[in-house]
Amino acid sequence: MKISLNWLSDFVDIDFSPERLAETLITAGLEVEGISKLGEGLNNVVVARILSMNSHPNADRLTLCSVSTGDKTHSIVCGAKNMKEGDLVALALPGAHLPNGTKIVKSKIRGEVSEGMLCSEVELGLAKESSGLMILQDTLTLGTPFAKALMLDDTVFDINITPNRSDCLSVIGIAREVAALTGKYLKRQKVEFTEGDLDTSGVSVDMRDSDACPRYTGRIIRDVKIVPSPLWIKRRLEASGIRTINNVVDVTNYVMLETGQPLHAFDLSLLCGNKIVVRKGSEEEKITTLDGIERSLGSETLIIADNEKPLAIAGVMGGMGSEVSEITTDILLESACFKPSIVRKASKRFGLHTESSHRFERGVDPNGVLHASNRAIGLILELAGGNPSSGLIDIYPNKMNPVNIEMRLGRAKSILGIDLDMDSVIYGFNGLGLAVKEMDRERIMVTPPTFRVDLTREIDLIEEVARLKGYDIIPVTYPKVEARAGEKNKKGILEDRLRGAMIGMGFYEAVTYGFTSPKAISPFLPSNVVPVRLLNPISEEQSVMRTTIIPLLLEVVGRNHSHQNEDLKFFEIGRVFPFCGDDRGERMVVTGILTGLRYGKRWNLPAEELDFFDVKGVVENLLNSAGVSAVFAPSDTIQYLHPGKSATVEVFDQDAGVLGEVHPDVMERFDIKGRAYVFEIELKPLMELTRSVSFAHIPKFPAVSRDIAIVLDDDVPAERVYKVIKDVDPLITELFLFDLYQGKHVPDGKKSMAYSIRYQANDRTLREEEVNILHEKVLAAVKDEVGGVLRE
Amino acid sequence: MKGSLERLKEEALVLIDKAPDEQELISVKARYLGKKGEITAIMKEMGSLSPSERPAFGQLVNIVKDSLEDALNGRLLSIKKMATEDSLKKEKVDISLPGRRVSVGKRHPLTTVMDEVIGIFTRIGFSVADGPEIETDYYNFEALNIPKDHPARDMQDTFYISEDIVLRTHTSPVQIRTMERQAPPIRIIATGSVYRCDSDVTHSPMFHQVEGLIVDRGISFGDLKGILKTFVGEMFGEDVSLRFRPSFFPFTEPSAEVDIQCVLCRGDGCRVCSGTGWLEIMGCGMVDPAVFNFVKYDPEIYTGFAFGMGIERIAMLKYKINDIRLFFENDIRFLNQF
Repeated sequence: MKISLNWLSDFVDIDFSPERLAETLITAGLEVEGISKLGEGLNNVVVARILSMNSHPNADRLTLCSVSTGDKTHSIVCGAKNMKEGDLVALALPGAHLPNGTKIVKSKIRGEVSEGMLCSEVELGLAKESSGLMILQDTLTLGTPFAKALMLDDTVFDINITPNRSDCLSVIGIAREVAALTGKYLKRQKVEFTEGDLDTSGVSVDMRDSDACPRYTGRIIRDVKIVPSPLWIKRRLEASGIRTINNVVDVTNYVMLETGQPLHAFDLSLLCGNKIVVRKGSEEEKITTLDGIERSLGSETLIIADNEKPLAIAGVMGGMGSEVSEITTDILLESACFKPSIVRKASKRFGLHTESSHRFERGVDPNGVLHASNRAIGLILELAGGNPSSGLIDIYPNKMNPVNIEMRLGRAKSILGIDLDMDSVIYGFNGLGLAVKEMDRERIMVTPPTFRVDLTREIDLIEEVARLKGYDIIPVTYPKVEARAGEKNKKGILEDRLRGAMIGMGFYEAVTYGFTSPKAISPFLPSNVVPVRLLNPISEEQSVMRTTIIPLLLEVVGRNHSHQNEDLKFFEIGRVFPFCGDDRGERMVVTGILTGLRYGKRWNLPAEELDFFDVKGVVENLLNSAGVSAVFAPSDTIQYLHPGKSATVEVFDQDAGVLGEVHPDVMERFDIKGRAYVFEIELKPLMELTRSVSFAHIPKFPAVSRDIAIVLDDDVPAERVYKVIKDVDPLITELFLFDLYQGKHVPDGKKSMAYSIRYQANDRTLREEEVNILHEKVLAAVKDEVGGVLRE
Repeated sequence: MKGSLERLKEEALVLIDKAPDEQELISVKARYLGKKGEITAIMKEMGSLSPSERPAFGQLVNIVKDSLEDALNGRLLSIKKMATEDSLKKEKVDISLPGRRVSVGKRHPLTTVMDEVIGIFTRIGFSVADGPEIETDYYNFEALNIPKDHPARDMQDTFYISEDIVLRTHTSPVQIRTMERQAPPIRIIATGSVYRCDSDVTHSPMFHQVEGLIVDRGISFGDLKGILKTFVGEMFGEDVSLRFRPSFFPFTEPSAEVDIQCVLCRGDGCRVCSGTGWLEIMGCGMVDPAVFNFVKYDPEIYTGFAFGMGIERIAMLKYKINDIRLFFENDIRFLNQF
């Protein structure tokens, strides 16, 4: 909320700097987000009268003006044409540094001395464009500083009012806080006017929903004259960021800003049947609100209507059909209180957030309704004349009474962790207008005024104590709790392990959004499945919840490629979400992508393309780092992967994930050149086993190594050959493939596999004959089970 | 004879010294000390000497032989040494060439900062708790004392999946889930992604939070100040001061915003702190009794405090990053800097 210092000063004496005031408000929880000084750059600009005008001897377009600032006459060369002798203008004297940047010095223009400059609104920073000089109101005193004359000598605070403090959404509310915080008195302005002789019987109010509208008042004024508002009102409204319309409408806004009570003025002549009906709307009803938009009301919306039609959306915005305009003479001034949730629903429904709805949503004091009405009537009479009704319509069936709240001093002390004495607490509360009754030395009964909608419980009062004392006086202490080491959870510990392994293998960690576009996710979804969709996404690009991180990492690769970053390895450890109808819940996964050259282009490393076995190696290492081993099974049904180069991963007989080369169609869809390899592994199966390591003895007896090369059918999986050999005897302690060959000397459809086999016993040195027998067994098994023959 | 022995010795020593390689040395050795060597030949002539001369001459021959053997061995060593030096010299490399780097990756800066924060809190006894990102309205709002149709809902622009399902707007639902699951005492931090419909250079529709909660007997606002002072000291330095400003959160009361002295200008006022000298880094407060009522804790017995902060905000301050979107673009040139 923007608030003028001058206005604030009407209600409380402020004898310190705006910066100090801001500091004071901040310590009390009223966050000042900005201070702007109006009239900046208007020093040395004064009100002056043009005494005479002569044409410049050396320039047709220029005029020589003689202007008076009261005690002195100045010669000024001027280029404008719109002024005449006798006009009051703004004169910038030498030394002025205008808001638009112009610096004024005494100079000679085409041979004639100019002791300053006559200013336009643009030069004064008051308008974006203007034609000619700004001609001032004739009532101003010559020589008066321009800023003061035009009421621009003001400071505006931008204060962020938290949603609980509706009482501070007004000048008086802030003034009340300032008074309480600085020990000053709140200056109450007298609100009085002479009631006219009209009675209110000409208009009736039919209250059909006193739950939604706890109080409704209306007062009639006849014979008002609608004209523009005087400058002082305009300035204060402008300072608060509100557009000026005409005197009556401006008064309703002015009083709202001053008191926090939104008001609305209807043109009485436009009310059908001289009747106000407060009721819910209906499905077929429509209203064109003051912003010119036609809206269907619906049965949830509280409206102000006349006999026939809706006049306003209660507490939100008035309708065009009953608007006060230049031709209005009789008005009905509404000052009412609407239920916060009703106004909020309407405001949300229509997407209309107004100054009025903002206040009603947060709670308006039904007991302040009358004061605001009277204040407004007083101002209307002052500015627009007219004849007010004697008395007013006031429908307030259930008067809201202040509540009594008990506060225990001991409770306040223990929650805040400070020492408190009863007297200072009571003094502080009284300053805020809270009535206090001492029950005993430990307890007080507090009665907050009804405008303090935030004070309903003991804890609310304890907060007030802290706020008044200032949080700074609360001493720093430490909780007396059990000494216990904190820890990451199981998931966090696993994540750390996996992250370390991935980084060690050259992968950069990425963090991407939890949502993505339907287009990006669709190739990764099983058929007939839709992802979870947001009702209100920022854009289509971020509208569905990801069910896998793979498309997001593909996008990361794409973005990097577009910046000529090549040979990339990324991983992310993050959450994926179930698709619609999926009961698996949110799952943590580790996802990786590799693309380009294995080692990049380096003088001392081979410039080789990555292949499937790079991604498989990464997954093997990764799982090994988590202390689990995996079973890989070929799969040609993962639609987004290359059917011949993809596999599923099983850990402890559970599906744990997938890996493989990205299908070329998907690469094309993501507009990525080359090949990419991806994997995605779920974390949950890896957490199943809490592995406790128990050490195995390192063998004392020497091992014997033998190599064999066998030729066998191409389609025998390596895994099978491995198993056949390994299963021959437990004395085979190590076995690895060191060569795989196809080509010259190996028949078509066959392959040559060379294994290194290590034989070792724990309890003895193996004898040559023993090893020979084992090796023969290996050859026999290979021949029998996979048709492998010793390569010549 | 003695004269010729001396002559042979001198002659041999010169040859030994000149021998360029092991081969030559062997032939020099054979020429003088071999079976048919010249010194061997002289020894054979010893018979012609008188018995009284023989011992002295024999001794002399042995001395000569020994000195030649020494010279030969010495020369052999130096030849070998030279050969080694030579071959090492040939193997010399340009050590300014780049090393064979099989590249190592990097952590994301958000993870680094997150881990730093988690590390500080786990060291002082907080354990990590977790909750879903797709959350019910109840956990995200209701149970945190943010009823439907309350303006406090405007404090967080929410992504909805349905009327009652949202993307969590903060990590605070984890407070509720934890308190529902276990009885006090509680000392947890909750970390993770949160979502709000907001996007510009300082707001991201997804960002990360760390949230802390203590519930026990006798916990006070002073304790809250103590814990956060410890955190700020560890995270930003012991000399960084902090201030607590009254604020409002529906689930804490009294509530506060925590500002730290601007880490860039040290409080003098700069662009980053908008000239105030202070930076807002987190929200906190004493757990509102209404929240305890939702989880059936007795607020007369237990009190507690909660705090929450944005990881991106801290990372941006720490690394002087001016655009939050950089974290999520994952440009390798960005990631490589951390």
